Amino acid sequence: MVTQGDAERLTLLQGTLDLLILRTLLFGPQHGQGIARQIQESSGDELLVEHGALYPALQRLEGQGWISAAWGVSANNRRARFYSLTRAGRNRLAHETSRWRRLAKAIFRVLDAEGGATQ
Amino acid sequence: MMFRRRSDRDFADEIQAHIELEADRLRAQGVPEDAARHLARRAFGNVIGAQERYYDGHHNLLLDTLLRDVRYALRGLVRSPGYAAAAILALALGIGATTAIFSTADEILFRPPDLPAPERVVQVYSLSRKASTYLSSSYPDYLDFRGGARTFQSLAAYVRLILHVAAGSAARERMAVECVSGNYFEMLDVPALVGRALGAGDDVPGAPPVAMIAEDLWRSRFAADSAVAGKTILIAGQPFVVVGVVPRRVAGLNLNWVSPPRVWIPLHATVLASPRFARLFASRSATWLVLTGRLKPGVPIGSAQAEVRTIAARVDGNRDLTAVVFPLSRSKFWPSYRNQIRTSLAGFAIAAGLVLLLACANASNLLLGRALVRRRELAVRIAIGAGSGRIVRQLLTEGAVLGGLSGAVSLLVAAGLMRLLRRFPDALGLPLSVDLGIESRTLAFCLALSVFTILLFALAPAFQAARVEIMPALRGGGNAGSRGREQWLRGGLVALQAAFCMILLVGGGLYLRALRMAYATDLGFRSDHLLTAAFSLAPPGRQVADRIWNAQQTLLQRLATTPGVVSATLSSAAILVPRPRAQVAQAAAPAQSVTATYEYVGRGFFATLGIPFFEGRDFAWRGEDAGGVAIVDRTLARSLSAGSSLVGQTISVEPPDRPAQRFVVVGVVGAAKYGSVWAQPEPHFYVPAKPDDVTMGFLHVRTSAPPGSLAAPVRKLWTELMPLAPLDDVETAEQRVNAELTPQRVAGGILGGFAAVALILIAVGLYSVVAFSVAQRQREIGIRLALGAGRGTIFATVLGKALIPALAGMAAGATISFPLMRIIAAKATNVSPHDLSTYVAGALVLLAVICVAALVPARRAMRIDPSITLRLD
Repeated sequence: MVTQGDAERLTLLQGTLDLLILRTLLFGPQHGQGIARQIQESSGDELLVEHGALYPALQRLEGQGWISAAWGVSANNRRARFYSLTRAGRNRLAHETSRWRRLAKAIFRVLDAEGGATQ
Repeated sequence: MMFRRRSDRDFADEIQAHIELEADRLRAQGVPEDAARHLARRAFGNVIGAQERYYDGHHNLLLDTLLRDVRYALRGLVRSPGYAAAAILALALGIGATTAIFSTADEILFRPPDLPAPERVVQVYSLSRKASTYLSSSYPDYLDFRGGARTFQSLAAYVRLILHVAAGSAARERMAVECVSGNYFEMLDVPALVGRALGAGDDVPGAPPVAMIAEDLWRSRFAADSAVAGKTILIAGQPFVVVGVVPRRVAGLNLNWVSPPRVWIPLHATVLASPRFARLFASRSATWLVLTGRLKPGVPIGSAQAEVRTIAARVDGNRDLTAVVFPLSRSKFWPSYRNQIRTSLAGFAIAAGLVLLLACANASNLLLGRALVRRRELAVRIAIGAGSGRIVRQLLTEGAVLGGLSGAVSLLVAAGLMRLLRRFPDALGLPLSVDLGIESRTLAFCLALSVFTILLFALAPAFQAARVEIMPALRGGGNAGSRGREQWLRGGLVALQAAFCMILLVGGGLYLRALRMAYATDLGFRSDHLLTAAFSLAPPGRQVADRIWNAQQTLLQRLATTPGVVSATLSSAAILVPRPRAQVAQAAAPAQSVTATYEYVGRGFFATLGIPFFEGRDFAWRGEDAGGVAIVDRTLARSLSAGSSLVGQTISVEPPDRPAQRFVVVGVVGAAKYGSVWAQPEPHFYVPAKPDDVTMGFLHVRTSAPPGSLAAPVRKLWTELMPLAPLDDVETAEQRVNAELTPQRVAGGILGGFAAVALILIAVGLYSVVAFSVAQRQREIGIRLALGAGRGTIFATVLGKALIPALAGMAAGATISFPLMRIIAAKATNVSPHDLSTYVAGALVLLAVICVAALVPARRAMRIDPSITLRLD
């Protein structure tokens, strides 16, 4: 591959994959490969989506009714299964995003608190 | 599942599409065709794993995986037949032993009889409040209960007698004959298999004598002839007409009454068997009948109890007798015996349970060892995507397969053990006539036990194995952390086995010691080379008595010249059977009386039995003894006259129901244990038999040849002399002693067998533990040796790993034995349950086995060559 080696990429935190999938689908229906690719690209190639883990996650989300799926045809004319966000999924995304932001902010606060005790 | 089901095909298509899309993208980036495909596939990772996860998530096909696991487990077992055989055999022994004991206990204590509405059938016993003992009832009592009880649909009475029966063409044989009231079969609600059942019309004085025969008798003596009704059989020499056949399932309601009845006659027909029964029908003090009845539908047992108690009080307010109603399944034997039987069975059950737990610990250990050997295989399976839940399920299935196979084999073990128990009807210390067999309740118990066993032995190893850490396992080395846990688990299992083994050894040892002491006991007479037999005594009547006496004398003369016979004599009591008692005192000091047993003896009694004289002389059998003489044993002599000689003194003897008699003591002989091997000899005296005595029912023959070989000649001689009076119980004195010791012999045999099995199990288990740990630590030991550790130190470390848990287990086992032996070794009468030497001996045996089992592999550890070991891997 042209960009970074797999070993240098960050692996996803447990539970974050669902959030990223939902977020990716906010821009419209996408198939599995597309989702994986898009996550990787929009993270500036920092995140690696294990494809083997992607499909169980998709299945889980579908099972929970947050996404729905249908077979369609891809941009380069291949048959693929396209996933799209449901209304419940949208709500879920909003909820999860705010939760994630709070969590991230909290973690940053801890990490950047070097010498902060004196402030 | 909530969502629309997708086919596996659909999912596979999606993955395929994914890989194609990825390859397209790579191609677009300029990657060559082949490489693009390859890279795309690699990027996806484990396709099969993803599919499998999807499959598992979606299909939940329990049966599917189950079958696969079972097949896999079976393949594994076939691959290592030694391991499989050891585990299956061990478990089968444990399950089988427990099943056999359960089935016996169930049959004896709980199983309802095979009758219509058995819960309504009860037995009624009289209870003496003062003596707190259960009694039979008298005939007038029976009539009062039957007349007064409104809660009963019908109330019957029965008594079981042992009588000579000649049925069909076969020779006369002693059989249990149940004498039943006319409503007995109507009460049981069981119709005759052939012909008709006995009815009320048959049970009146003077009715024509009729009888029913048991199904097995009908088959063996009458070839299952459907026209058997109307044939005549002889009972106690009297002709009875057979009216019907009793089906096999009615085998008598009481189990501990010699043997199951094979002939039924009306109660009033007992008078034909023996005229002395005639006066019993009128006597209130003669309690000879057991009452049994069927309650009216819906009547609770409590109200029957209350009513029966009221009637008992009304019959005679002064008597201390009351009546107790027992459901039939709880009164298969005399109520006071129930505790005794329960203790015996509890002892056996504990022992069998210990064997089962031991087998579980053993199988657990084997399974664990195997899982460790298979660690690499398991790691590979986890690495390629099998979840640990999947692995646990797989290992549990292996356990279930093992358990299932063991369960099947255990039925054979149980059947064998039960056949063995049936061969010793006195095993529980009572003459129980039990029909032991495998039936549905036994099967259900066996199945439940197998399942329980599987959970017990397969769970821990399964979870332990599922915790395997992949990378170290794949590299082939052990992981220090998990190995420590395994060592603990295995050590614990070894300790557990040692503890159970110790308990069984102590139990078996106590019985062994009790038996050794019993056999070594000086009975006071010589039991070797002694043959005994019983004459069946005809009803009194001078003519008959004279004839028997004459025939007996002729028999003795003829026996004296028979080769192999040293001497022969008669007495009024069999050996090891309780004798009648009387109050004895010196005529000079009638106030100081003691209770003594006595018997009448014939000429040459003391010489034949081998009882030594200490003072005085034998009976002279001439005129000088005419005034009434007696010979006392040393126990009686000592308690009547401290110090001075009793020979020449006159003693006064007062049996409970007869006037006092006086005898001059002519001799003092050694004390003999007549009553029981276990008890101390009681004071005893002998009186010479007179020619008109019909009490001389027992023959004793001292032989030079093996005593058993003279049984046939003795029988033949007697048949020649008295063709109509049978000779019974022809057996050697040693057989009688053995019979007396049957409960201890059976218990000792069972516990000893269990202990032997336990020793084998622990030897196998310990060997495998040590051998395995040596194999695992080969490299480590090699390094230690290379670094200069002494071989002795290595040896001690390896041995210590096995010996420390084993010793701890032994100590624990010995401690638990202390309270447990009161139950397990309850019948080892003459040995304390805390007998130190038995504990020490048991510990030494166990220690020896443990050492041998651990030494062999430990020596291998010592011989490890570091220069070879370190180059491995």
